[in-house]
Amino acid sequence: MSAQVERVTCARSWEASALEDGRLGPEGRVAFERHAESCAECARERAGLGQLRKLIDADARPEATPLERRRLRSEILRKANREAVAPHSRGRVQLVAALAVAAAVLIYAVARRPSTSGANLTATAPSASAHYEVDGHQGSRWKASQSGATTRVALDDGEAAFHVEHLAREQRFFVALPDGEVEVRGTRFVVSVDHGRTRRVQVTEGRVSLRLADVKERELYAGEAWERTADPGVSPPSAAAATNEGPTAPAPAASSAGTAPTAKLTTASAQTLVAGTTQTAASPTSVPAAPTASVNGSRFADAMTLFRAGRFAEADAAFAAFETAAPGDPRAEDAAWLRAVAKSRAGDTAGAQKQAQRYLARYPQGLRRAEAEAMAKGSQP
Amino acid sequence: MNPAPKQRAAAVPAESALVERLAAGDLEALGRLFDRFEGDVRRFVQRLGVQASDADDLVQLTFLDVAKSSARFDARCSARAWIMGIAAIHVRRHRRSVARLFRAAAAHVFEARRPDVRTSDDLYESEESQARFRKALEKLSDKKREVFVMVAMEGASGEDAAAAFGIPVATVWTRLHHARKEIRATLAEGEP
Repeated sequence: MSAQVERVTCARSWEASALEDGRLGPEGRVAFERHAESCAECARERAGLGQLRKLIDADARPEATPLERRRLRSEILRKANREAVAPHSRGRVQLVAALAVAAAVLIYAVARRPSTSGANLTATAPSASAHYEVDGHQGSRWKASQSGATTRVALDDGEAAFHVEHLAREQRFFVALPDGEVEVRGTRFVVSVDHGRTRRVQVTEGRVSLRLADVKERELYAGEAWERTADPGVSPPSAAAATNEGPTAPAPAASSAGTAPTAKLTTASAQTLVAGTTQTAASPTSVPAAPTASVNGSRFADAMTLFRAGRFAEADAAFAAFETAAPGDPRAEDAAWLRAVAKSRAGDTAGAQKQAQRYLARYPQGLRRAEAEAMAKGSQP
Repeated sequence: MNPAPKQRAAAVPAESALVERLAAGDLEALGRLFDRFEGDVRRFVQRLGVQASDADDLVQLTFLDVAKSSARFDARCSARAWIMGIAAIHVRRHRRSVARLFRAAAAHVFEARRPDVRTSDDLYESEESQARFRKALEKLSDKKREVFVMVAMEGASGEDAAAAFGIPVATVWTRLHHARKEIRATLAEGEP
């Protein structure tokens, strides 16, 4: 057979294949058959193809039994029907999966880099580590890092609300502060830092351990807040805040003399006193008012707490009070927007639309412009 | 083995109509296509090198793809060749999987241990000759094997094969010619 393959040199040998494939017409077939009678090479080529034809014809393959065929038929129709009924379901599942992965990556990336100032950023930790959320308020600077089972969020400046879900036995969660740290065992709390000093820690759920360089370690339980009431050598929080909320009280003589700073421990029921008055009966020393930035932070944090608790009507009122008290505060824009959302969630659609329009009028280039425009047209947030 | 040209010509419109009905959402047409071509597709994928144990999967993938792709079917072409073209795509993917390569390698090792009992007289009729023919088929490139199986073994016309694989008819004949040459050369290698 190798001779047949290798020695074909006749120019008409291709016609053997053409004949095999039915490509030769009646006349061509007769002409080639006549040629093959006198051409040994073409005759061998034909014979070789004929033998190959025998092999092809003898090439039997296993067939399915009627039962197997019926089962396979049913299976195919069932699957085809499922895809026909929900033609995009797979695409939707893939899309949802892709979005989930993208969201996880984004959240992880946000959680691991310092927040940018000027916007409220919320980060959720990846599932492998402790579950927590950091809601950095405008102007805050923080950075999350993970080392084994220990999570550390360094809050350099500004205010941030934390929600840490209950930690496993081996997990630890710290908020590193410029002058100390807060250790958490699963809680919600807000921390304010200003000019490198911790100003306020307010716990709404659970318990934290507060360790500052110049303050004795203490435990703070749900409803309690620690606030620095005097700070030697620190200038007033900001010109805007001072302008809008009146002059900031000068640092007390005791502080400037270098004595240990004083702190005020309040309970939830006393928070209004902290926010609204300069002195309370519980105050350990007769000290001037707390810095206005901390007061504003407290107001805003309280409003956020109400908002997160789903008490939208109260949150709306709290944000309104914040706006009135601190119209120049960087968080005023957030408050204006959150009022619209709170109204909407409270069922006051008309009020939400009006508030969204008010937001747009006041902040035409605001961060929430797109959402506000949609809400002003009647869309739900 | 191959349907006569006249039979094929008569069958094409009915088969095409089934694909068009399927494209319109009639799943019963898919059942009819399955009834008509399941055997062809099963044999076709096995001839392309798929193990009998994997043939069910390939048949299923092919017909599910037929349902999905029915809207793209050109009614001027043979539905049978078109379905085989879809099957060939799945076979190609199947063969590329590393697991199948290992399985194929193991099969070759097993076959190499078989005693050589063939004689020149029963070269083309014996079981051994069939095994060698299949091995020769396996040695072809995917493109040549697909054309050879579809045209020379399954009786599709050159035009239908060209449409199914998206290649010129002349390319079909060229590949077929070279496929035959290579198979015969491989068979001749073991000839006493």
